[in-house]
Amino acid sequence: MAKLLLEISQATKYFAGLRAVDDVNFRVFEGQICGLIGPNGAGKTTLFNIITGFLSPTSGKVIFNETDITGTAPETIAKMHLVRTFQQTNMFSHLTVFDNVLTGTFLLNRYNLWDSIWKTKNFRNNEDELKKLTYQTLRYCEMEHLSSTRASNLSYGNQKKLGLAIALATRPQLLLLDEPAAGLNNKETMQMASILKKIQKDFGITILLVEHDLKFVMSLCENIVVLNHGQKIAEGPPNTIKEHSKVVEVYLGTNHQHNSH
Amino acid sequence: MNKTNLIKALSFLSLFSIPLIISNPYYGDVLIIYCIFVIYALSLDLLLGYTGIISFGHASFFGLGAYASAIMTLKLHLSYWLGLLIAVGITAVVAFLIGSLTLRKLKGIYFAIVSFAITQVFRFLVVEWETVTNGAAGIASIPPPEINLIFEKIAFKSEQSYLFIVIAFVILVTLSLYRVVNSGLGRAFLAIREGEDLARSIGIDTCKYKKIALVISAIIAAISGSLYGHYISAIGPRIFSLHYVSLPLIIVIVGGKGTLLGAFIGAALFFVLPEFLGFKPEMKMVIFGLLLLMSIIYMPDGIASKLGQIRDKFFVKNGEIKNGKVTVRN
Repeated sequence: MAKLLLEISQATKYFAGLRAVDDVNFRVFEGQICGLIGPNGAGKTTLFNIITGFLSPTSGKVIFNETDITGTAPETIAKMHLVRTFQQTNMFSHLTVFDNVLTGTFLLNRYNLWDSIWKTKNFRNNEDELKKLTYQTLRYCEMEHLSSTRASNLSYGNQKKLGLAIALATRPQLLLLDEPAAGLNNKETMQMASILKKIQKDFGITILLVEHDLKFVMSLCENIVVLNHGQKIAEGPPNTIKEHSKVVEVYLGTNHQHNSH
Repeated sequence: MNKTNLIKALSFLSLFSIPLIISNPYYGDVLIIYCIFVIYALSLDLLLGYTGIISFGHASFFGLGAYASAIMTLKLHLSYWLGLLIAVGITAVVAFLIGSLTLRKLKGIYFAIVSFAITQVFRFLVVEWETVTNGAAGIASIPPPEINLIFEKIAFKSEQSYLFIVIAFVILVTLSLYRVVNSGLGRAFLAIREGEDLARSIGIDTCKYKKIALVISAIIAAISGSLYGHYISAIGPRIFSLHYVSLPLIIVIVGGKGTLLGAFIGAALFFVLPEFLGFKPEMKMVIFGLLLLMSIIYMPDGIASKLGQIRDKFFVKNGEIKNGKVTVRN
């Protein structure tokens, strides 16, 4: 059995009385692609923010690699190789594509201020390494021809890909993707799905993603967690989720009933 | 040393011939003030242009550098160089404390307002702490820097000799900053400017790096302040006024923020151009005001950014990959 990588236990978050996330439990195992779905306002992004340290849960725990990371600062969590992307601000818009990905290699810097002022051998070697890594990452994401383009001038699909490339440059162990296919056309969505599969296969990176596009999630994920009104209503492989009565109810609206809290 | 490095070294050395060519003390004076404000503007560019921190309080560090080094040399009779070092140290500590107190909680315009309030605290302190700072009267007869050779002391009294010192500092500061902004540290600063959440998500401790930017920037501002005080030989509480707050801001914004080159262009527009075009004093500010307005309307990112766009159009772009090799401007 694969190693347990991430465990969310009894995560709860209140916003002024509103239960955005309500007693959610689930686990992600190494090498999996796991999906987190649910209608708008289900608490998916809030849960992402809790896992990555951008929000502290009101109660509950987040365990990553056997370490309790509940309430730890996002940058510290990133150092543990748990990295996320964002729905909106997923790139440094005024920098070139190359500089965006190079910035993503920040944690692999092995020199200090003195080294950079004197351009020591250590600095030059490390910078060469990082630039090589950046180039490889861009090639991997099929973006090397856009290398000198300013990020803000990219098409929406390429901006999403750039966000992924930046995250990939950090050498993550677990990658959290916030709606990687939102706003993409069919062709771009397929491309994104194939890149994600490739990442998982080639680097063994575990992926947890939030997504609206059910087809995308069903085709990609081995395990799916469904949230509604902050609560987990179902969990399992795509086939089970597809036929789960509560999920069908939430998505198709038949016999729709609100669980008020 | 390869050919490019040799050319670079020679071109820097050639800058030292400027004081030898300029014999007219008036032009010498214009250039000294220009160089000092280039350094001052460079320090703000690191903060505003690269890290995206708006500071209306940079005069705190400029003034602190000027006051501390004047007091060290006049009252404690230390050499200029030791005085400068201590002044820079004091400013760095103050900047660190200010950063620790404000940067975690305050962002954008809120930090800007607080930073301006801090300059006023400094102004109040120098006025009130008369025994050390001479109060509102300020400090006069600040001695010029000296170098103690074995047989005699050389004082950098004349415009020509002072120009040597300021040019040396311009080169030192520009080179150091250039290397810093083209390193991982510089990329961390830019990432903070572009989006703090994304920066944090890739492992950048934004609070720590904002503090580092503030301290480096304050150190450079203190150097320029010290050079200023020892050149004009008299300073007063006015050094913390809006005039000294707004000068580097205007220079950096008109010249082009986040470029380093912008500080040189902006300061030239402000200090050198009016002198050499021979404007009448009363017309100087009017014409300069118009120039400022035009440049902000037509080049909102500054003149240096416009030049950069032109360069990108005609020459190789930064980050361009050709035959598997990456072009990185360095």
